Amino acid sequence: MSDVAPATGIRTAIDRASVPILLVRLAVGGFFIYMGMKKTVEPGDFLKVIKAYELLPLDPPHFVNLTAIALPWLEILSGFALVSGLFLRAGSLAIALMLAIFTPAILYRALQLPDYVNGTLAFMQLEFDCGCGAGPQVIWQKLVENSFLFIFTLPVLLCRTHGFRLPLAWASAARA
Amino acid sequence: MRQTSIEFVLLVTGALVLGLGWNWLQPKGISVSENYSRAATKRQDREAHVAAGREPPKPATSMSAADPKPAPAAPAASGAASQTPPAPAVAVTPKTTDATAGLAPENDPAPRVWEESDGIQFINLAGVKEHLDDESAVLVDARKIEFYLEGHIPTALSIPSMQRTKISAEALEEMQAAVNVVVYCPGGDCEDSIELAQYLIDRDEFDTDTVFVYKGGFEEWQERELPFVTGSERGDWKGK
Repeated sequence: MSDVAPATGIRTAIDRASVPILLVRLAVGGFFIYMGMKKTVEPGDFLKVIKAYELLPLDPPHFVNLTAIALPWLEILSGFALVSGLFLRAGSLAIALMLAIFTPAILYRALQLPDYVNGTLAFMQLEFDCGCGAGPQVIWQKLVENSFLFIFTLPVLLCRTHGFRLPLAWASAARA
Repeated sequence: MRQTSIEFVLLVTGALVLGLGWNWLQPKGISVSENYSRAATKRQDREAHVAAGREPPKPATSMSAADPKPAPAAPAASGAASQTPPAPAVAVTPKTTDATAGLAPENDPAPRVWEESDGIQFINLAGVKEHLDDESAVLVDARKIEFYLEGHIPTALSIPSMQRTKISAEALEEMQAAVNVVVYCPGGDCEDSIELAQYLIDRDEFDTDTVFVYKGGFEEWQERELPFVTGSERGDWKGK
């Protein structure tokens, strides 16, 4: 009888958590699809929010304008990837990257607000439209929400087995 | 890893393609090449010049913010509509009276025009009412169409700032034929009117002497309980 070490480790535990992982996929994926769709209705408003961060160059305007046009659709497609199981790892990577970039950006912008710098408002009172699609948000709550989304997305990214995927013939052929 | 990278590139490409397609189809789509931060870019250039110890680039007019002057006078009314736009009236600096001394121009009960650091001319409420009385300006509402429909200053044209690359030929013709153009938005921190005014000035058909931003905006108009029009009709100004 050969000595085979039992499968252990976080990754293995993640691989075994198929139902919780599926629930996370549906929740996170659905959330991103919904928020992405809200942003596609008013691209001008989303562009203004992106400009308010003052992180992207305004001149030439193509880069910031294309970001406002394409980012909501990246959220929708990534959310769909999580829900359907198609391009799953790429979708979860895109979501994790977006959260990893947006969350510090929101914190940075909050810390630059004149009301906070002047001491007029405490950090817990800061509120603005961060660009998530839900309008003005209390910032500390948004940061906590994004952090949880990021933490929940990581197991989806790391999981090597996914029980549920859309049974599309072309998707199966792509995976073969 | 390789497959994930390929899928990621496909996702980003798909997002770009779908985004551009959706943007092209929908009426509220934005232009990829339009600079929606013209005034902000000019302000940053000016600040960069000052920070580097250089003279900031001069705007087209050389009015001083400390020297507010009356709003430009309207030309004499003529029986038939003129086909060529009349020359803008020359502004005359008034003698400051005791009644207006010390007042910020936006709070002055007399019509006032002044320039701020971004080179745009601002006009106060009294100036806007004078233009409405004289029919010497086209008013332009730079807010989103939904807000225009909820209520706008009588006679105002709707040109949402974020859809400025889609101005109709009729609207352009009307603005070019007018003596002056006054742009407004909610007022306060809103920059839609400033950006739209800068866009009009950057076009060759408009001059900094004839494009103004109503500083107080629609919020001030409503605070003063002045008449406004709802719906898509532009309405008439009956004075107040």
